[in-house]
Amino acid sequence: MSALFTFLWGFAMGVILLSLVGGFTAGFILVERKVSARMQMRIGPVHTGPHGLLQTVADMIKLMMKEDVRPARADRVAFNLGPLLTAVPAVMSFVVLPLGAGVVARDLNVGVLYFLAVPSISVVGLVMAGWASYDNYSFLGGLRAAAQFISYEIPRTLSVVGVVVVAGTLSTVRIMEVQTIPYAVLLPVGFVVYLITSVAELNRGPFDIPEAESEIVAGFHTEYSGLRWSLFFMAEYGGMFAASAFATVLFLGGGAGPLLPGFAWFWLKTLALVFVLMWVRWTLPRFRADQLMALAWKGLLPAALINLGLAFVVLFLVR
Amino acid sequence: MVVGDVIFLLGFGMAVVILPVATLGVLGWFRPQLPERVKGEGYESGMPQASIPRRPFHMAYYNFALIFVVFDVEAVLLFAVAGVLRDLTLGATVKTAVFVILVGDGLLYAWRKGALVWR
Repeated sequence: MSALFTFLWGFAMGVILLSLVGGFTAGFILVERKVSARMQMRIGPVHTGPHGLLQTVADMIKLMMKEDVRPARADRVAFNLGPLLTAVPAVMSFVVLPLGAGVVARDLNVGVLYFLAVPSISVVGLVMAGWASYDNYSFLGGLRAAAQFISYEIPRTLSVVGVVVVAGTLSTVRIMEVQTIPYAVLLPVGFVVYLITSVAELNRGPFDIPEAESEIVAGFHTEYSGLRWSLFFMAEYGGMFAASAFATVLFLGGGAGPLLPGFAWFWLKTLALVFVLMWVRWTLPRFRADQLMALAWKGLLPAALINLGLAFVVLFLVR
Repeated sequence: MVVGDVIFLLGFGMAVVILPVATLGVLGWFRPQLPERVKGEGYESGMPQASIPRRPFHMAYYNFALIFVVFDVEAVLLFAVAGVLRDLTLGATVKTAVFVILVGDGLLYAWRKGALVWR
């Protein structure tokens, strides 16, 4: 009986968080268009609704009503599965994210490992989509996604191990509770490595070579259209929020802060990080494939290992 | 992870899979579906496809995949001890540090051998 209840509770949380991610996607796409417009001295969308606020809503209706084009020679099963396999893990990662103090879908005792492991499945979806499309641009995009993923996953994981060593727990909620000094102060190298590698994990500029518009049209999602195409965007923007919220939990002390309640601080920090991710994307030029690999293996990985050494020293000092 | 967590994740995963699939299915009744020959061709800026997109991978993947496996396993092993290092003796931390240094030396070796160059 209680097992059935847990299952249904999980189902309900899934519906709620999926809607939340959908909402984030719509909101962030509009914000990103506005931010990028300001940075390029344009004004962005203004005609649909007041100040263009309804632009994404109009776009979503358009996408829903669009034809679902599939290349004739595409691998049918893999083509249909690709976007799902990209979006589902991104939403699954929200399970362990505390959205404010104590608001969490399920406090897993391996939360941190879960958050690093589950969204990584997304890259399988990207490679699958790229391969199944039977298109040269998509194929290149899928391969690039694989290369980028195997390079940036390592420093990202190792930068988080440092936090786990100092905090002494794998639960995201507990890490927030035991964090009296924000770990960004104790482990600054880890924080920087985490942020940079998160941008790469999300395939966002300046690490957007898997979908570089000026080189390979749109990379792995060249052949997709309509709602299936928008699933990739759900993964990207949902993942962007998740990565920022996770950074807030691990490095910025979660809801800690003066005057305002914890809930407000948590969202302020997270949204500030989301803005930083957009800011970076529209400021820096794209990396070349070999520069990307060199940065990951010769720059970020040693930095992550140094961060781990730093974590051991901190652990020694606090004992 | 206890059994309850797994059941919760099953329910969660089911919702997250079913909802998008159902939406795609329902909208299939409303959206137009007019396939034609040109639409079904791979996009290559308007020209017929020049080459078959089933080519072998770049050789450089091999080296990087090998190093990836080494460090991914290292990360997994570190997660096994990282959470409890606080409660263990100093010796445990030192041993973990030695392990990290040994694998880190592997990175230096690969670097010297030129395995970290994408070409």
